Amino acid sequence: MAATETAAVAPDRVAPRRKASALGLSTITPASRFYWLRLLLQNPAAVASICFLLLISLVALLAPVIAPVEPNFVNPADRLDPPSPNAWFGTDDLGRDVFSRVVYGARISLLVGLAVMVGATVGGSLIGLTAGYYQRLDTPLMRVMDGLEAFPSILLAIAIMATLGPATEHVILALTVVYVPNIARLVRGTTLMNRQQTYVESARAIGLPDSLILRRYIFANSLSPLIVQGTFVIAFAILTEASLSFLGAGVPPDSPTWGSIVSSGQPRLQQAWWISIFPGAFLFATILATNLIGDGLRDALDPRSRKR
Amino acid sequence: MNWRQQQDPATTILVKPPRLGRKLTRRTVVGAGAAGAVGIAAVGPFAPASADAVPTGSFRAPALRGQAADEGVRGGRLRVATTGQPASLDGHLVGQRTITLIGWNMFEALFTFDADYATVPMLAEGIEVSDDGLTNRIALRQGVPFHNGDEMRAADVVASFNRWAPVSSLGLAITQFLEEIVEVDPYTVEIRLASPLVALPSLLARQQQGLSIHPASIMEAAAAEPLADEGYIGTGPYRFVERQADRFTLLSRFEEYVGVETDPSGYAGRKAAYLDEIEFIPVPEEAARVAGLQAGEYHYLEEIIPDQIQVLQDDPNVTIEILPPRSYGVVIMNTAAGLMSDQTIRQAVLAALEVESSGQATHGEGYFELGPGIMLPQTAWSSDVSAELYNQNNPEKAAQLLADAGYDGTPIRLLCTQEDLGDYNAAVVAQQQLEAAGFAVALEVTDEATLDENLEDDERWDMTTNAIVFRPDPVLIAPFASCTFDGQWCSPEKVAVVERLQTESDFEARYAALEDLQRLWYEQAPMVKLVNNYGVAALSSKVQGLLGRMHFEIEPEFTNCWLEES
Amino acid sequence: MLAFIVRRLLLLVPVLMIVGVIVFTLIHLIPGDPAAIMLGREATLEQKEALRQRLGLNEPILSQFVTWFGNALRLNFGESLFMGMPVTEALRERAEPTGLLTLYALTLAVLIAIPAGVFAAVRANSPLDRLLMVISIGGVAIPSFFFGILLILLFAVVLGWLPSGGYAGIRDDPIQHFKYMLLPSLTLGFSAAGLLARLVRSTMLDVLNDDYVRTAYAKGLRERSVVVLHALRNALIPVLTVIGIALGGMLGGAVVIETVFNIPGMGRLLVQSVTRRDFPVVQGAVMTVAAVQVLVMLLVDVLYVFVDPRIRYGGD
Repeated sequence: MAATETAAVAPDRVAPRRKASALGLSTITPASRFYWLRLLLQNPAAVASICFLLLISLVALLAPVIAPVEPNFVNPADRLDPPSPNAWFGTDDLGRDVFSRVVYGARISLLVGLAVMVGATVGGSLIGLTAGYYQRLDTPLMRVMDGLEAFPSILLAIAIMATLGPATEHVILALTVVYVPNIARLVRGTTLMNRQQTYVESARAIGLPDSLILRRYIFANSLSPLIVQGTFVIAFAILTEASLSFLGAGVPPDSPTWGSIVSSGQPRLQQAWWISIFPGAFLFATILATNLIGDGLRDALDPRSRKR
Repeated sequence: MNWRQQQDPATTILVKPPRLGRKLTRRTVVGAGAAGAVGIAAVGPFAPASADAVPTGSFRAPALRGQAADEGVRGGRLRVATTGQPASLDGHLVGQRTITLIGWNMFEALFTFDADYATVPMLAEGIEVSDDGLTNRIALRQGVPFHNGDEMRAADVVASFNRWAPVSSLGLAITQFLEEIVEVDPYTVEIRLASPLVALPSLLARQQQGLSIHPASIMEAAAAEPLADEGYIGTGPYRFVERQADRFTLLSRFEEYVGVETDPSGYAGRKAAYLDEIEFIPVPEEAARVAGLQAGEYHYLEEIIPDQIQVLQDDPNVTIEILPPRSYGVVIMNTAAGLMSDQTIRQAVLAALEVESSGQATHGEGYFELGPGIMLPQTAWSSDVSAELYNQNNPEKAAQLLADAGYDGTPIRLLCTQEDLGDYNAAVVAQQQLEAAGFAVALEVTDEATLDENLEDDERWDMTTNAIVFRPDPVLIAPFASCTFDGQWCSPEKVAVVERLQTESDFEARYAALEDLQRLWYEQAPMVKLVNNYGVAALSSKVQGLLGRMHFEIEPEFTNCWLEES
Repeated sequence: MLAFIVRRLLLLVPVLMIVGVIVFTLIHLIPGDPAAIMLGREATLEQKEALRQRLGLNEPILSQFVTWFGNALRLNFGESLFMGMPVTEALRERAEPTGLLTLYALTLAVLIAIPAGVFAAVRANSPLDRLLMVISIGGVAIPSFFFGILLILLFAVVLGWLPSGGYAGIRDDPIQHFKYMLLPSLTLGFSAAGLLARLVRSTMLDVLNDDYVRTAYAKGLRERSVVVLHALRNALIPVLTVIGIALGGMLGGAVVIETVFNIPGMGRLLVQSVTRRDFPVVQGAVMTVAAVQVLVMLLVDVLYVFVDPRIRYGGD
């Protein structure tokens, strides 16, 4: 379980070497299916984080209602104004309202985080299950994953962005490609372990179709490390998007994300700190909350850690 | 043959008042703009005989007089933060700003621009033009050594010209007129033309991608290939030492330098090399450049966002000076294909745009000025013709023109790059204003290389933003002189006017041609002029002798300046 | 052991081939070419076309790939289009700053993370634990380009203690070198420290619950020696692996840090070469970084086998 936490930034090579019990949810029975949720809700940090993220999600959903101005409305006459009752977070170098941009930024930042999480989880699970279950496909698939992982992640994303051009979908695609290998490796590891289990052998013996075995007995047992990993992917996707914006390979400028607002304010940090600081604070708090939830989930889902 | 003395620097009459004292605060900057009438226009060999011919603009050409006394402190290394790393320092091949900034400390041209932007000799002794304007005889200064010790001779000039002409846009412009260039004797070259080209000395003068003079052996060996580091041999007061990509370019004083003895004036006159060394360091991040200047690591910044002035102006270690306009922003339209090939739609764009917002967004209040002239106001060419069509801010008229043209709401593809903040902000503002007038605008932001590829394909774009940088003579401005610049403005009327600019010998006639060009610019609307952007010099207070003496429009030269340790 | 290393080294070949195909395909799909970047916006079409011809950019893609791959196998990555020098030479120049930056950052990260993780684990669920963990996540949650510029403003602009950016070679001027490297190493190290500290904490927790640790306590050993001698040593094994992984992550992080601090390293070269469309450099640098990353993983695996207590116990 320790290994999953770093896996979002880097290939998870520790997991397969760890003891099987540390990774699986195999001991959790349907009866205790919601036990982990109760455990999670006993963790104050996780609860606070969940509340915060719900609030941010609400802001994102209600952005058109909350934002006083259209986020891309340019008003150069009032540029670089400090925070005031008229513009709570000040204005940027084009006179756009930073508060409105941060509110809309919540939308796109969360969208990027969630979409990358879903994409990487689905893609990674499919590849990981295939590689782990069908041994003949293992080597070719995992070598491609090795190849992708051998790229410094940000660079792979930059190259994809340069090829496709700036668009939010492209950022999502690029980051998904970056995170697929490490999900694939995680799922492959648990698949390899589970397929040795007697219940899988028996299921095969009685002639159940592969798709059912994969779904019912193997994937279901990979679920808990996957959920934990998924929360970290959200956090890192949001962060990496910020770095991409800084390097000039991020979302198009008319779709504000927290990361792109922070980086657009960076050259003028000394005279207009408000452009970067406010979205930076939201970014920070969201990543913090996501990580705390990830930690909480891991503790709650991992039977070993319950003893503590 | 009957020769007429066209140029004698010693007798050039300078009628300039002392340079306007432009110090910091925003208010005085605006004031300086308004008080522009103080100055009198540049008077050079191709300038009008009387100042009356010059319309009143705002910024006047500053007189950059140097004191006669040799007062500088020798020694030290000047550290200059550049915006990027040039591929090479081969100014013949590449017209990048940073190369212009570095190169002209090492290299020299036959002519250069003095304090009044008049073309005066540098490596040349003078130029004599035959009465028919076809034979241009250029005498060279004698005893001028290259950095490799050889003396500069006519053969070097011929070889340099022959290499430069086919690879540079200025050279290509001359080639259209050129019969041949020959060495008459070791210190004289003759340029024979098919038709008169009055701007020839200006075309040969120091500028971006200009004709720097190098040894013939190097020129012939290199041909169209870029020069290797060993090939950076010129006649300038600093010589090339070493460069490491993305780390530094180092120059050191050329002790055997032989220059001219007239007083320093703009880029012309005596060039004292007080500094032991000049180091150019590529610092692509704006924030890093400014922090480095504040921390005392850099002495001069190639570029700075005017917004930073607010932070720097109270810093005793930093000197900031607002300079005359270095460029003006333009919205370029694709006249060759697509929607924008319709002149009525282009006029709708011209009618819709309001330039003040654009100036605020690109440069910040106080660091730009409005002006209709397609030549910058500090030149003798400034004109107010067609001013009523500048900065119209008339969405109703635009909408009417669009209706007349039968515009069907097809989105206009407005291309720009985020790598240039000014161009990007101008595009965003233009988009909002055009949409308010009834255009549909699709803003496509890419990186520079992608933008450039897209601009090469006429079917791929309708509009883009850019800036036209300072040039002392209209024939030196690529979109005027050539038909192949982005947007491909190439109407028969324009071609005819430009030909007059290139061949008329009398300034009055040329100025009339320029005014006609400006009228055409507003009538045919190939581009929309935005605002004149002031230059900003940001330098360490230790740097002395640079401000008030040196032009910054074609990048400063670090001669006659020194470091004073306080 | 030797067989294992040889097998892993052989695996390097297909991985690098895949990297090569991916990078070559991607880079040639990127719109734009170096001509415009090298010549400037005012260059004429003819000038750009002539440059393309000279740079060999007009060759068919397939033949470019075959030539490049053949040479790459012999460690010849060709000439940089932009810098006019062999790619291998350019990479050698850039290896020092990036290598040292990563090394310093890693050292800092380990020096911060291990004590923090151990304290947090020993005092699990105490306020100290919570504080340390929130700080660690904080290290991860600030975008490093933003953290970097804040450090520059504080230490270079306000206090004037350290340079704002740049680089001096360690052999040219060691003192200057460390001054230049301090802030970048801190920035990069801080984010890695956060991850490491959390990992150290959780593996320590695992180990502290293990039977032999309880036995050690039962034998009456003092807490300090139990923690250091028994638990930490065992906890370090997975940590070691993760340090290897973190090293890989740092090579990616260096891309951003080198840009912020204007360090002429591999990361910045890579990003700039994408912008400049300097295809041979991007290809060569990616291949090099990928090879280093794979080799580091191999090294970690080898070390892992060496320090695994079960193997050592077997040898005793």
